[in-house]
Amino acid sequence: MAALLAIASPRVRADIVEASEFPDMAERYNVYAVPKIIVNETTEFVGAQPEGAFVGYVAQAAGLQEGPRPAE
Amino acid sequence: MPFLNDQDAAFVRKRLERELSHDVTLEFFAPSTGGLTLPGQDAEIAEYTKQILTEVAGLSPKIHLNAHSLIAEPEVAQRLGITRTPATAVIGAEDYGVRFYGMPAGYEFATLLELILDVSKGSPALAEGSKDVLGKLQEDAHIQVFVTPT
Repeated sequence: MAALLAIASPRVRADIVEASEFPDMAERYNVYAVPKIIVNETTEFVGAQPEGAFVGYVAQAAGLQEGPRPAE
Repeated sequence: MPFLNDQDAAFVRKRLERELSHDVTLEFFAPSTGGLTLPGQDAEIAEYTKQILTEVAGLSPKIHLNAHSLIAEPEVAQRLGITRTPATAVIGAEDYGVRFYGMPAGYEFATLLELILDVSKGSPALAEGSKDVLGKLQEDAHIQVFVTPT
């Protein structure tokens, strides 16, 4: 989903990070369960999300007052 | 020993044949070249990652692999925003900002395959509401998805 949003918007970029190979980052972001998603260091959530909710988190992190939405 | 056995390679080849549209370039960054390794970096993982990418690129004429060294080619790394290795930038008709950090083995091989197919397609089928929201973004969004291969 992260990659799809990056493809759809020039404002979005997506890194997929293999947590066990980057333990410093996993520790920094408190990754205890996967997938864990961090957006702009300010918003985070764990687990697969429906598209609407995922977009909501991204919007929230990028300054829009949308917030996560229920599944469409 | 190859990463993909014959059966898996045939399956992936078929999917690539069927689903790839635009060419995809994998810009791979290893920590170093010439057998020189950095403290804390796992050269074996980088080498195995390169092997996986080489095998995938060998399954379709539409997939291109460029291997770089983070140390020897800092300007390329900077242009693509790569600061850690192993890293793979997955680039289609344009650079959408999609990166894979680490080795795409286990379940993460499927993730890499989906990234390649999505980037190749270029125009994701998102809900209208999602497109509206993305179009309204006033700030950049950097999404980091932490995964594990098991």
